[in-house]
Amino acid sequence: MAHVQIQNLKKSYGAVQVIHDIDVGIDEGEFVALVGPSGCGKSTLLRMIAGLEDVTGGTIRLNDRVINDVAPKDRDIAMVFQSYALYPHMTVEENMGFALKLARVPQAEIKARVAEAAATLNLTEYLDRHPRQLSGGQRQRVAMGRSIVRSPSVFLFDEPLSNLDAKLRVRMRTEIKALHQRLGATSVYVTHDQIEAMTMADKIVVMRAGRIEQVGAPLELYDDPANVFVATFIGSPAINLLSGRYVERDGAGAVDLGHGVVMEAPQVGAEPGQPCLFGIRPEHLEIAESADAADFTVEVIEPTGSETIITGRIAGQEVQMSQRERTDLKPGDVLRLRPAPGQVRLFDAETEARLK
Amino acid sequence: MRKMTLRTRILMNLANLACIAFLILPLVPVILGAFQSERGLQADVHALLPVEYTLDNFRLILSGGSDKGTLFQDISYLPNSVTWFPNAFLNSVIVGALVTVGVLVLASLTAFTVTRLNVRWTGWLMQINMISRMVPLIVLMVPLFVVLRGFGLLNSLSGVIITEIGLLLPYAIIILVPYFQQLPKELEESARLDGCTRFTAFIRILLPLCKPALAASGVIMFIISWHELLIPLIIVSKPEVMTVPVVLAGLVSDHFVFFTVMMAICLVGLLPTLLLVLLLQKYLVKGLTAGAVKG
Ligand SMILES: Nc1ncnc2c1ncn2[C@@H]1O[C@H](COP(=O)(O)OP(=O)(O)OP(=O)(O)O)[C@@H](O)[C@H]1O
Ligand SMILES: [Mg+2]
Repeated sequence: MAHVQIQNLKKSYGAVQVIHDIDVGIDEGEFVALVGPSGCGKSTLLRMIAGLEDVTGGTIRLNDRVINDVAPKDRDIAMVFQSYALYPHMTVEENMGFALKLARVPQAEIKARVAEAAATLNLTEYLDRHPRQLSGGQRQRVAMGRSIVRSPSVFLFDEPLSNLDAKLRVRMRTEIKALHQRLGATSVYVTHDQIEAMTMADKIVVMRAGRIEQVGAPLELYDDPANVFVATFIGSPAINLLSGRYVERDGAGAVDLGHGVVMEAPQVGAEPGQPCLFGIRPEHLEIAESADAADFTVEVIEPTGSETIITGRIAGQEVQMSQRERTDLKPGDVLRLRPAPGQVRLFDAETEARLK
Repeated sequence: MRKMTLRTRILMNLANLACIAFLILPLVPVILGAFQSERGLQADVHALLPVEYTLDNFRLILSGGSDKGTLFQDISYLPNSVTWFPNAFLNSVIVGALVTVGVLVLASLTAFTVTRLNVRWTGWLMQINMISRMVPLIVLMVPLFVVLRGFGLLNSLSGVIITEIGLLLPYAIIILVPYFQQLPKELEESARLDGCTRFTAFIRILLPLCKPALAASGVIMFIISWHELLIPLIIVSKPEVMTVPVVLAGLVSDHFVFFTVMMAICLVGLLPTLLLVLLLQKYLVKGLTAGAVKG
């Protein structure tokens, strides 16, 4: 069990800097998800923790010891690769026992520990097979098993589920989470799937272009995004962002969306008339016949079974809302919508930072 | 694969057979010649099959000239090199084996360095190496002789071995580099996290996966070394360090040509390469076609 502290971490490839001054702490037993769009440096950060990439600047500490220059083999860190990287010339059993064999663990103990991990992962009947004789999901489990048998200080995962089909991905997601709850091992999990991050992680680190945008618990990021990027990255369907001007009305905040539509908003430290973005999640729009509701013209209706996503326009701007109940709405219908109390988030139109 | 019409299939098979025949047919007269006497060979040049069979050619070379049999008992002159054949055979095996092992060790280390360690100047070294190999060997012979004399390596097997390793290394590298390139880097990275150093990851993960390529280039190196004549001919003048091709060359002179003895030597000389190919057959096809088809 271990904790990791990353300070001012930088990485450059030649003249190109891909990681800019990253600061993040990973507590003992915590499951941290690194999310962000493709190319934002998630893998690079993970590989630096593993010791597979040189550190350009800053420090990485494992249990208060600086490990910048420690060889990967001496870090006691295990990693599950996106491609699984199973050794093709070894059986499942040899794959899983390889690290222990290198550590000169007695043969009998290796066998016992591999058998135990294989039982956990339902791999017992495949121990004698070679990786090429396994399905994608089984390979994925072998890759997990190879890490588990070592009981390392830290687990690293680089998009371990992205090669699986949708159904299996959901099942493995649950299995990995259950495994983490049982082993309680410190884990860093890279994904660009925000649902994976939301469902599995204790803490999410949102990255963009080599910088951290926000760190927090999944629901914290959902409820309290620091900027437009985080707000749109977390949550599906994505948050609605309507442009308008901040106004004050009866001593309370509001946003003028144009076309004579003014919607209630939290009171924030902004000048009246300042351009801003009015953020409201689709699930937080409710149908109401009150004075503070706005006209919503229905354009597209998408039933998913569990909910219905309705796309339309408020004040000429595209808005999505989602609804639990079945509906018999048709395109062209007009509803009156208002935000659920306390669910509006305002952002500066220029800096895209949250207005509070 | 695309489905072929019957006609193209027949044509392809015929072409294939023609290639095989072109390679194998010369062996037939060699086999026939090795089992008969010089007189029988010259008697009727139009006859397909020999009039008499004898094992005396083999007796002669395998005994190093002491067992002359009926064929050679009253012959007035035997070239000296015949008496050295068993020894030359052993020399050839030693040279072939050590050259093959040496080339494979150095070539796989080179391929590892070039494809895995990001050192820029190694790429340049590779290019220089390849270009220098385009210089015909014969041009290098005089300088080579002088250099080897300087190191006291003339008339020694080590001189032959070192020279042949230098000559063959680039070819093995050309085969191995693309093979290394197509193996995913994550395998070694995973091994390094599992407890390997870069070097042990190379030994325990990369090399076992390269078996087909190593087998293929190993066989090619052995065959080239096995029939290399020029290098030992220039470096070696003492009979005890001669190799098989040098012995063969010694059987041809202005005054005599021992055809049947030469053919027997050729046949015996085929055995080691044949054995090697049979042993490694499993890997050879894989290695020589590697990269041709993905997956
Ligand atoms: N060896 C390298 N040389 C130069 N640039 C590199 C190298 N490796 C990565 N980069 C750059 O670093 C940036 C971050 O790459 P990284 O692989 O960490 O992205 P990522 O967040 O993992 O993306 P993805 O979700 O697509 O896996 C990218 O812009 C990439 O082009
Ligand atoms: Mg990545």
